[in-house]
Amino acid sequence: MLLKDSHLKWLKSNYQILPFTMNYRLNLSIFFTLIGFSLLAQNEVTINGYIKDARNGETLIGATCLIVDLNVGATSNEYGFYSVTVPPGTYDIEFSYLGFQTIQKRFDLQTDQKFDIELSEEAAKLEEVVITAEQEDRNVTEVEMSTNKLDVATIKKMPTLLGEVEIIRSLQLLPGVSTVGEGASGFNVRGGSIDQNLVLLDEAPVFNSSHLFGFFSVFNPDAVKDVKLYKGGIPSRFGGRLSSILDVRMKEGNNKNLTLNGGIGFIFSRLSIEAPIVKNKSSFIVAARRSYIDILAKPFLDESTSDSGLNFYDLTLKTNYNISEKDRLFLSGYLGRDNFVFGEQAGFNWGNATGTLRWNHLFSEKLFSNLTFYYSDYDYSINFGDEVNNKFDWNASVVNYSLKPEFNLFLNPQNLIRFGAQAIAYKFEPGNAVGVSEGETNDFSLDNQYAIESSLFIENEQDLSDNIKVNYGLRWSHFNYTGKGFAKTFGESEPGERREIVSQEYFDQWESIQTYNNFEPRFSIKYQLSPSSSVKASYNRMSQYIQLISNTTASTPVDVWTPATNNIKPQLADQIALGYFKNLSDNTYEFSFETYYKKMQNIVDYINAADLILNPYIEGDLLEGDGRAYGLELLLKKNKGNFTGWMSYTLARSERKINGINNNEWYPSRFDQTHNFSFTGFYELSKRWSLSSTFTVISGTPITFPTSRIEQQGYVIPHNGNVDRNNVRIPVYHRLDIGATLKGKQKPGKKWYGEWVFSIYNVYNRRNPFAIYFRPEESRPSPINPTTTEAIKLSVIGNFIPSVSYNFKFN
Amino acid sequence: MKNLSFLIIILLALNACEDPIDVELQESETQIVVDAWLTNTPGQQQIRLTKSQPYFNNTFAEGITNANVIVTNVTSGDVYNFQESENGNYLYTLNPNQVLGEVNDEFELNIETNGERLSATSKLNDVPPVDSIDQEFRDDEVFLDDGIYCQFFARDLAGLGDTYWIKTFKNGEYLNRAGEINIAYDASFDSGGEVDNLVFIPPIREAVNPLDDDSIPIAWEPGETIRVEIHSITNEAFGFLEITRDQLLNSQSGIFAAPLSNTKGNIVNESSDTEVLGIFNVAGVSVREEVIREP
Repeated sequence: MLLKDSHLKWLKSNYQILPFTMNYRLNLSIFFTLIGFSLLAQNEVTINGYIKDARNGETLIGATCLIVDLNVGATSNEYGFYSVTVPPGTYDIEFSYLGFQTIQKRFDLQTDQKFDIELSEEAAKLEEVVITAEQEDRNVTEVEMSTNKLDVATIKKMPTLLGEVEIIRSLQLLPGVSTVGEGASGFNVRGGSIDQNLVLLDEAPVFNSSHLFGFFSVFNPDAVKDVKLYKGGIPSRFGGRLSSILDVRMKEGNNKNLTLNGGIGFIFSRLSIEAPIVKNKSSFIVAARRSYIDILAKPFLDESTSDSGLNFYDLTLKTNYNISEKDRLFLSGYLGRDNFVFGEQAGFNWGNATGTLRWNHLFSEKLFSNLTFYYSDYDYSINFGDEVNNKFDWNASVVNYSLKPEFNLFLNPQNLIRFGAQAIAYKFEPGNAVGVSEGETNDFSLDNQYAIESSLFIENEQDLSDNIKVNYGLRWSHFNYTGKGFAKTFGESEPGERREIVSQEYFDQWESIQTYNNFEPRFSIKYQLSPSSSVKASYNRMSQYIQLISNTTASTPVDVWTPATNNIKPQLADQIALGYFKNLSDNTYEFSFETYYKKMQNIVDYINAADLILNPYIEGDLLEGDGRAYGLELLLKKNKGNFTGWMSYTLARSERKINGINNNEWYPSRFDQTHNFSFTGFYELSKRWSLSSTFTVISGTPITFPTSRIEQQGYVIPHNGNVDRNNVRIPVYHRLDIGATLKGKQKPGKKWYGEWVFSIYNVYNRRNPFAIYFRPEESRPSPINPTTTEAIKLSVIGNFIPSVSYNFKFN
Repeated sequence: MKNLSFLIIILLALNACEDPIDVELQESETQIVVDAWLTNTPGQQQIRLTKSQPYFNNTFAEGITNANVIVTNVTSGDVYNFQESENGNYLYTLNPNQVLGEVNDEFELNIETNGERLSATSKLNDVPPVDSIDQEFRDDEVFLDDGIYCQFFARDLAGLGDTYWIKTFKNGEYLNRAGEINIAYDASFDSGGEVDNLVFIPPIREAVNPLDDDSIPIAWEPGETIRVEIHSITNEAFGFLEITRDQLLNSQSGIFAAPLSNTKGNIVNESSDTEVLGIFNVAGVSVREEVIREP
């Protein structure tokens, strides 16, 4: 305990002496000065093109093109595009990507040249090719910090819950990422709440990333190409949430030949088809999953329950078309839904839908652009009652449309400038509810809300010297909360009490009710200490204009998103992070150490017993205050050999101070975890067998315990006489999972490839606590005997869970 | 929306499990609890004064003795001096044709105990009649065995902000589980809905059936008696019961439980800053009783 507290204090005091509050004007002037210098260069040639996977034609994100003679280069962007500008000459140019063979080729660059290249996982046989191991030191040499990339192939090897490959659960094995408990939807990053993560699927935000509450995520692993999580040092091209950006990119679809991927598990079955439409010009992928508990259970249900059940499904599709060398179109979409049906009496369903249309255009050899238009929607609906005269129908949604032009200017090998803009139009339907009682209809519906969020950003990733690399930028965001609807004004109250509405004023459609704007400076720097080690520092300010209204431990599917209004201020966060990065034994081991401090403003909390559902005056039940989160994160990774894997450790604190809660003192947030340790290991036993294991130990999260009980009308009610929040911690969480994969025999020319995945989740059968509740005994209270009150530990997973799944691929 | 959470919980229950656990709780000062729910009916009226006790102290609450307890009908000027009986109970017996007051009368409670002066006010609100009790034989449904189930019919009074506590008695015994607490804000669950002057919505009408240990309704047997009482309560008393019910049922919400909230009473401590807990309410009551018939 002593160690923990002193460490945390150390972190805090260090933060306070750091001159982190940067003036954005200063930042801007530096920016233009630096760019000014760069523009002086002349007489240059550019080589550009796409870097792709030779097997399926998928573009590779973050692959490197290195001019060996000059030791300068570029990294391919989110669309696999690279561009390097150098003086004319003859150069050895090397293309590399982690896990792929490096290709080196000699170019005589006298004029601009377009060169697309395909990298292969297999050993290449061309004479001009030199095989080297490159790119493995990215974590040390890049300016990027506080980011994690998860490889889908790695995720697929991990032990699973019920045989389902899970992207969001896998993220929780990384430092700084946690969850409030099993089954809770979403994830917490560096002490932030789940709605402070911007989850992007092909640039469209996904408002609820979970199926079946929080057990499974909405991402079909067969359709996902790249997963990247930004926890800090967030570049200015991203914004809108305080804590993290989860950038999920979908596959484009194999443009060489037809491929089938699929899997059969306990819960889901999944199937995906990808194929070229016009070879090397256009391809598509369609991936679908469906749960089948309901189908399997059907024969065992009797008449009264046979209409009941639950199922969930999702459909992911994407297609692309190369219009010309300079223009490429992408269309992608996601549709998913969870359905709960309880006979004819009740039903409940929720789901997301997203659609993204993107147009890549090359304005010149150096200027790459992408124009994105997306649509995203989350909605749910609930109904009770099967009679016309007595029923209740309720639905809610959040819909948004956005246009986002973005430009990448590969100015020279030292400067990559990105700039762009975004506008998002939101429509919030916080609840349409109609009840019919004995034929009398009553409408409980809440007014819709509208808002427009817009932003401008510019950033430059620059090599200042051989040792120093920086990324600096600025984002300006603007939020306009508009009609049509009533702007409400609330009266004053005691802190922590409901504020009653005093007046309201009507506004027409798109008439501005309240506007906010924020300048968000971003800065990261890397200093290379040696070829295998570096230190990095970053600062970012983030603003957030929409939030999820939820006061339950795990967010529920009926929680609604609400915009900043004339009563709810936008949330702000300032984060500073410092890190040390070191690779050992020829990049076999990768080590990182990071500390961060995050200060948050206008964090939303709720009055006691807040009424969050279908409450037109909900703004009167919200409280605002400050948050702070700080911690240190260690990651040790082994990348090579038969045994690979990583160990992650986080020491952290996440606290809030809200007027009206906890006697106005700081208190730990519900997802505060002091220690979070995890181990993930993979072992290649033989050509066909591989083993995997994950082990996690997490400090108990804090919850509010009562101190006493009081009697009223025969009821025995828990009461907290000290009025403090989150005053006791639940017991420690630990869990071991193991898995084994049996790969099918691989023969040349074989088209079918299958593998069996065996897993045991929670091997030693621990009932890990999710929460502790206080309640009277379940039997009917008796007036003669006093009521017994007890503490109950809730474990979401009560046993060890074995599973088997079969994955296949047809090529 | 307690029905909704109930449905969700059933599903989670498939996998989750609950175990009693020993935990250590913080200590806090003992607080005075006033339990003063009076009705505008003849006969005995009772007020209880008790102390809060450590949560795991599984005994009846300790009564506070030697207090002066006086209820005043401010509108009529009548004063009711409650007499101490045993263990913190204070009683006043009205004549068979006497009641505390009339609709819209204002009441005041004054208590003196150990040098502390406590006070509270309440208004006697009007209450609608219970128009009927419907007995219906229902076939097997999800979470419901076949059998006779009841619902009552009544119409919320005109005007927004009427709050009611609907109490059901089976063979004269009050259905006292937390899950059986049936309260209404106008004709619906809570404020803001503005569902005025309607017949109570179905979930409220139907919440007059006894529940088993798993909160599943139990059917009535022919020959049993059902009595439904509507009590008009103040908005403060409604808020108190709402938190009481939510806190007692919170564990049923599983991973979706809300943080612990203290109840908020209406007792004022005139002599110190120490918070006093509990409610003073004077309720109007309407009653209907029926015998369950053969289907």
